[in-house]
Amino acid sequence: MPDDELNEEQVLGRASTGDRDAFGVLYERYVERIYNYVYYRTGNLHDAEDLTARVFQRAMNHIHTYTDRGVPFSAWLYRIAHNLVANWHRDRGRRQEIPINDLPVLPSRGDHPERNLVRSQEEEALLRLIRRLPAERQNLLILKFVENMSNAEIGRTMGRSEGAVKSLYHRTLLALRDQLGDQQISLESE
Amino acid sequence: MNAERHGTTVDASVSGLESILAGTLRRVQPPRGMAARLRARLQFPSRQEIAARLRDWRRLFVVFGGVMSGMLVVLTVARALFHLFVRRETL
Repeated sequence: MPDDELNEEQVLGRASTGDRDAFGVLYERYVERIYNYVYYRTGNLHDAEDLTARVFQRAMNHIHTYTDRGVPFSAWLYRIAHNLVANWHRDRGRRQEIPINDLPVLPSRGDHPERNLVRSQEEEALLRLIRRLPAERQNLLILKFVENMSNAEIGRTMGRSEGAVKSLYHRTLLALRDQLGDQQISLESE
Repeated sequence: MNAERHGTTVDASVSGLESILAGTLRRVQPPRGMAARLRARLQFPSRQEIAARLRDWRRLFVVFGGVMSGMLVVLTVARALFHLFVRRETL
C-alpha cells in the first residue's frame, strides 16, 4: 500500500475503529523509531525487540481510546514505550547497573565498522552515564539526537513548553559533563 | 570579565559534549528481520498483503454484495413483521 499517500489522520481514524490493516500502516511508520527509543533506554537488544512488540500490542489494544489533542501520535507511542521501559527497569531492578556486555554497538546508518570498534569503549561509557540520568532527561537526549527533533517537537512529544525543553537540555548537558568529570572519563569530540 | 570567561569555557565544554552525543546517540538499525518477526507476533498483514487486498476487486465485490444482501434480508423481515402485527391491528 502506498502508505505515504495516506495522511496520519485518515489512518488513525481507520485504526481506531479496529482496522488492523490501518494499524499495520502505523506500525510500519513507527516501529524503527520506537525500537531505537527502547534500545537506548534498555541497552539490551533482545529486550528492545520484545518491548517494541509489547508497545505495539498495547497500542493496538487501546487505539480506540486515542484522541487527537493536537499531540502527535508518536507522543502517544513514546508514552506507552516509556511506561513499559519503566516497568522493565522496575522488574529487573538493574537501572543503575547495566553490564558492559549488554551494550552491543549496533551498526548505525552510514558508519564504518572500524570506526565503531574504535569508539565503542568510549560510547559504552557515555551510554552508561546517560542511562543513569533521570528518565525524562534520557528521553530528551534520545529525541534530540536519535530522532533529530527540534526543541519545539520534543516539547509537543513530552508535553512541555519549548523553553522548558531548552532549559532541561542545558541542565542535562551540564550534569552529564560533571559526571564525566567525576568518573574521569575523557571523550574527544570529533 | 572572569564570569564571562567562565561562561565561555562552560559553553565550549558543553558544545564539545553535544558533538560527542551526536556521534554516540545515532539511529541504529534494528536486527535484520525484526520488523517481520514482530509483525508475525502481532499478526499484522504484511504491506504486500494489504496492497493485494485493496487490489482484489473480486473480493471487494463479494463483500459489498454480501453486506447489501444482508441489509435487504433485514429490511424484508422488518417489513413482514410490520405487516403482520402493526397493520393487522389498524384494520
